Amino acid sequence: MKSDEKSLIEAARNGHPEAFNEIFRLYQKYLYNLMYQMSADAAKADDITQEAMIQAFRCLRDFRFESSFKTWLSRIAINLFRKECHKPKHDSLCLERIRIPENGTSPERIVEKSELQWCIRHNLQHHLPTKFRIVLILRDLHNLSYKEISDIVGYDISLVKTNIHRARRVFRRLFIDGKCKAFAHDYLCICEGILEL
Amino acid sequence: MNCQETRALLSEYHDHELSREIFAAMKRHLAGCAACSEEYQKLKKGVDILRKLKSLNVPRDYSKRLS
Repeated sequence: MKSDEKSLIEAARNGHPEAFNEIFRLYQKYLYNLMYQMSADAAKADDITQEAMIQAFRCLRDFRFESSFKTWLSRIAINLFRKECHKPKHDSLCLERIRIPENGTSPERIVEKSELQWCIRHNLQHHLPTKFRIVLILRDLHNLSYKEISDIVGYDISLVKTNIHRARRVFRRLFIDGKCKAFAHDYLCICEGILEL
Repeated sequence: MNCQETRALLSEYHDHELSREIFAAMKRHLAGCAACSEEYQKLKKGVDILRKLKSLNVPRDYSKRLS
């Protein structure tokens, strides 16, 4: 851990809220993106990011410097995300279901289909089981080590390794071996209307 | 190292999470096995596609709400 980060945490513990704000400014973009990548839902990402920061603020005295602050904060957010996943589906209407026009050949649909960003998010959200999505995003989008991921998700490192490997196989099948093969080559998604496996 | 062992460790190889000896053994196997090498290229391509996902700016300054 960087010494200035440690000083900020200690200052925050000693009752300096500005120090706490300073730490969060360092991580809020990371945390918001992590939650958006997990949920593909801006409102959920916003809620979980805020709730994670409030929980971290309340529990800062429990942080023992045994892991990095980023790992600790990520663990709080991932636990909140997992709780969110267990809520009944009707509580969180999927925005992607609304955005996709009925007519598969409409101009809007074609534009959306050509969006690599949309398709990656769609596949993460709808084609990957949550346990795979979590480790894949932490590893390949945030470059966290297997040990850090193990600390965050609470799995043994061997299970983290297995899940990362399986997650990559599922993800690459979607883009390279499977239905998204054409998309991977010419940026035209043919994942027609498949919203959930 | 055989094909089955190699394929089980492709992700760890990609992430440099293997011991030096096992990494070197895998490198040798991949250099001489077209099928495993193709499998590794597919894995790499999947990772490359995922990494094209752009990060977003935060919609607001969350830290302000904590003051």
